Amino acid sequence: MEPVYILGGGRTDFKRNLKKEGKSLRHLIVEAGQAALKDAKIDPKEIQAAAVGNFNGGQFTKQLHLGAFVPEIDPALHGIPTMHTEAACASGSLSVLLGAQWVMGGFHDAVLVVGAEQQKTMSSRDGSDVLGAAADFDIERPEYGDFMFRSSSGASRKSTSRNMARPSRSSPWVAYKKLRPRALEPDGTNARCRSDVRLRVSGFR
Amino acid sequence: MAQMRDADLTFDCASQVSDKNPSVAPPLKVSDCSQITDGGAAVVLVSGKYMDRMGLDRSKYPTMLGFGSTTDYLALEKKDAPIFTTATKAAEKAFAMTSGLTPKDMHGVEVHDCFSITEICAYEILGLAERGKGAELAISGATALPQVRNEKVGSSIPWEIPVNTGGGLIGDGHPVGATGVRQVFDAYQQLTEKADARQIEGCKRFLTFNMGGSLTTSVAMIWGRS
Repeated sequence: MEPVYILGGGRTDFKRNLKKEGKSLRHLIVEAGQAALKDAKIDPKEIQAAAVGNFNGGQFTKQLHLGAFVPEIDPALHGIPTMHTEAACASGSLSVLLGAQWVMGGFHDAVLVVGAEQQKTMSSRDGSDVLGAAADFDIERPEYGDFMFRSSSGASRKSTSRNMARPSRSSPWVAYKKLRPRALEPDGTNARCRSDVRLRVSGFR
Repeated sequence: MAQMRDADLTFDCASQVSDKNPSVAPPLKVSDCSQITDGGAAVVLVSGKYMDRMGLDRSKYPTMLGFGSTTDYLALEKKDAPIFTTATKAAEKAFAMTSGLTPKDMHGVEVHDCFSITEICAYEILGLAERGKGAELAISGATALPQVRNEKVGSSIPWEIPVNTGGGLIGDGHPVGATGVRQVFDAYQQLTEKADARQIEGCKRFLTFNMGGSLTTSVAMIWGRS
């Protein structure tokens, strides 16, 4: 098996709000990709394939087909094969594994792996609904509500009592399921937090 | 580059429920949760053949020593929480690919702390702590970066294993699809001694653990440099 090396990498500043900058998911892909190519000091012509990890650009930004942004990183990447991997919060690691396996298998000698997500595009409540796609949307959302934590508005009384009738499920997992988010406003934001701090409370994502 | 770098959060504030740090889901407080984030990360991966062709010294770059990836049922109800046998298999597979490395041989780790409790679960899944002892490992201070270890965390440290030196998902941020790549970028920076203030001294072996959903898809990767 061919060994895999990390030649370089890059990232964006995670404090940014892309929507406020008038930018979008494509800019995250392009900026991170360019930073990695520069750090690796590699001629972009050497890159033979690219993988893009993203969880839910379709719902957060209405944009998918993200491999097609790879040529915008550098014109030399135009035409190379690309793939998009998705497995909720593990989407990025799957892209790394895909890229690594291309190299291990001898298919490509140099690949670019990008992970990106733009989330600050909607209200917290709508965002939590989007994050719900990482869990079992059909079964768990009706049971736990918009937020996996929210039992007051979304979850039915029946399901709440079902959870409470299970003392054997001790441990923090019960807390995840039975939460009554007193601190949360109806729109899902927390009024006492800084305005840009929104809670990610839709379970383990 | 970290999302929470300007957050006004002290150790005492993070330890208790207050107006500034309200409860979200007891015992979790706001400071136990990762935030909504916009972000991207990228790495360039190359073959050994490419390194040789370019005349690059293989010993100066991090290489993948092992990986494991598993997928559990989607619904939390169908998983064996809090043991998570399927997620544990991802870590076991990664270590099995190496030449006899164990969790104790790691010099640094990036774990998926979307919530503080997830980090503690990850310690146990990865074998950094025995089952049920994950919280003790955190309290001991063993997972803090030695140069910034807080005096308030325990006095006896069983072994040093700095975790999430850049702040992890809670401190650095969690742009969902970017997180797994960001972890590997952190591994690269640590293994090439480019992590500046976050640098783990003498870091030669590094573990990354990324998971999706309620520990549905789990990916463990072990990186090293000679």
